[in-house]
Amino acid sequence: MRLAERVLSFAMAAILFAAMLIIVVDVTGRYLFARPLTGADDLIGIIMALAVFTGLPIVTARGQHVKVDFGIKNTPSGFRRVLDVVFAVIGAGVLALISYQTLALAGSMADFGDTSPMLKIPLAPVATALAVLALVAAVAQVARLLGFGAGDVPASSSNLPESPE
Amino acid sequence: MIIGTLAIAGALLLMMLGMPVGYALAVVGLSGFAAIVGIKPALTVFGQVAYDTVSNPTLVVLPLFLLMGNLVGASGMAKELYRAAYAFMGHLRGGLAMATIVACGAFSAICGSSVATAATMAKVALPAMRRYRYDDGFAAATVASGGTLGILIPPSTAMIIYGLLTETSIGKLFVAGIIPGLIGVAGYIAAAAWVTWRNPSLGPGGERSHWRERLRSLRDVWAVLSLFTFVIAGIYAGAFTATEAAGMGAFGALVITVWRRSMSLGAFIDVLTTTARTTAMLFFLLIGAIAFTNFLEVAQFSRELGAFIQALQAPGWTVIAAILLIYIILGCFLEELSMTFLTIPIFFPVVTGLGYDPIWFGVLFVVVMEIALISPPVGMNIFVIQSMAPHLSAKALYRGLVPFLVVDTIRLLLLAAFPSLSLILLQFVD
Repeated sequence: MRLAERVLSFAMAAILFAAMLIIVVDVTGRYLFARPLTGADDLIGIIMALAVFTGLPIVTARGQHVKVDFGIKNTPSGFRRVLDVVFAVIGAGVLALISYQTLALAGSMADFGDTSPMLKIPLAPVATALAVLALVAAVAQVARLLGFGAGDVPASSSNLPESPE
Repeated sequence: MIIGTLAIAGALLLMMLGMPVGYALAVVGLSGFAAIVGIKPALTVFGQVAYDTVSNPTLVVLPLFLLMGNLVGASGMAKELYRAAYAFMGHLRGGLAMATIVACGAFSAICGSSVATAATMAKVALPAMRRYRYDDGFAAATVASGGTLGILIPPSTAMIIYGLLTETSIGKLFVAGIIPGLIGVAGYIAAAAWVTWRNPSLGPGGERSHWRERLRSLRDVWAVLSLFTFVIAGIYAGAFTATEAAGMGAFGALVITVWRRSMSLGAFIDVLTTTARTTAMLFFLLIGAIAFTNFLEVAQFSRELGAFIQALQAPGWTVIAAILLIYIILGCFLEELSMTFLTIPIFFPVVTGLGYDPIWFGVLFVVVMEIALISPPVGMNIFVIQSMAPHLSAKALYRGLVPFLVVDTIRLLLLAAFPSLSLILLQFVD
């Protein structure tokens, strides 16, 4: 679990950094050398999709999906535990569905030979990677339910606040 | 409209029961969609939505502005902003609180998150105010409120999310936030002045600084100010799109941190992973929200709600007032992000259907979000401050927040009554 999380985290960090560099190269190229980066949008679209789906298993394993606990704060712990189990199962189901549907999408992309508009990068492998990562997230959700997770990591426990608001 | 209303109630119920918001919206959106068009098409659309949402290149604007704010937050620049603000106003009655607000405003100009602004400034400002024997509740309320400026003064993650959900120009939203943001700073300073005028012992003045110190303190903040100018002027002049500004801004923040040698490689990777995690969390919410929006569209909910409101023959402003009131009430109990993703798909079509400007409504939306951030009992900035000042009683904090909430409400009314306050700067943007 820990190792998997580290690997995914590092991949995610690298992807984000790459996205920033692509934009910087594109913009400075355009203004300084009158030569924007061809297909910057293609790369960023693919990169972002990978970044988000790489992050999905981590966020899921850490129990960091945004939720509201105000309504059930003062209910019996047994009730909350039941809800947790139910929601985790539903969540794993949603993630598995995303995985399955993305895989189906990858299939039709392969059939039609879909590529990105400028650089003609084939999209089917990208969608397949997303499907795999969503499946990993679904597994992480179940694993968390079985007690393999790190427990809830509240946003305020880290150095940087993780809420974007 | 019945099926839509039921679905919204269902989503709200699931959220209140503690179901992660992304799951709740996705499940309700998907089942509602399936009930109308059948399971198989609904699933296909859902898969397409998930893919399209994450592979849209303009969405990179969100993580990159988050990265810029996180870099600046981790680099210690907040301290210098506070010192500069203190040098100019610290000697006044309530001066440390005023300096906190100004520093929050300046920090907001490079950080798009209210929570990050409050958390970063709390580390600097709370110890300083404690040293000068400020009232704990007043000090904490100052930081919590000042922090809310993060999402109003550009860049702003709340505006980015609003822009993405409604396909409104993010660059224009940013520009529209500038004047309301300055009004916000002025309002909070007035609140601090009023509090300490009523009871000077809550916030005594600090020592007066010499002009030499003041000038020197300004020299320390030039980096922050030039980064803001670069990014926002770039958008304003049409040199960058919002996405490009985000990339250049994040890179600029990185250059400043490297130049100041204020961050280790490990800390930098930490900032990157934190940012990426937040991004994944947000985009998952976005997938759920878009599935939910699609369902509301197929169910023709927005159109019927619009027709229903039209049948009431109520003047437009009463509809806006009702929406703002709903936000203020919901804001007490719902966490802000959840509220955004649940309500924007419902309210936005109504507002634009009535012919109101989507940018203007975006600004109002962000201001009600600011209020929600500090309306007890549930508000992210309240939680941040409570986690950073554990000894502080909730009662003291809530009492401290009242004057700030009052000026916030006045600001909201002003901005609602005079749209030009938000829109006037836009006439120079293409």
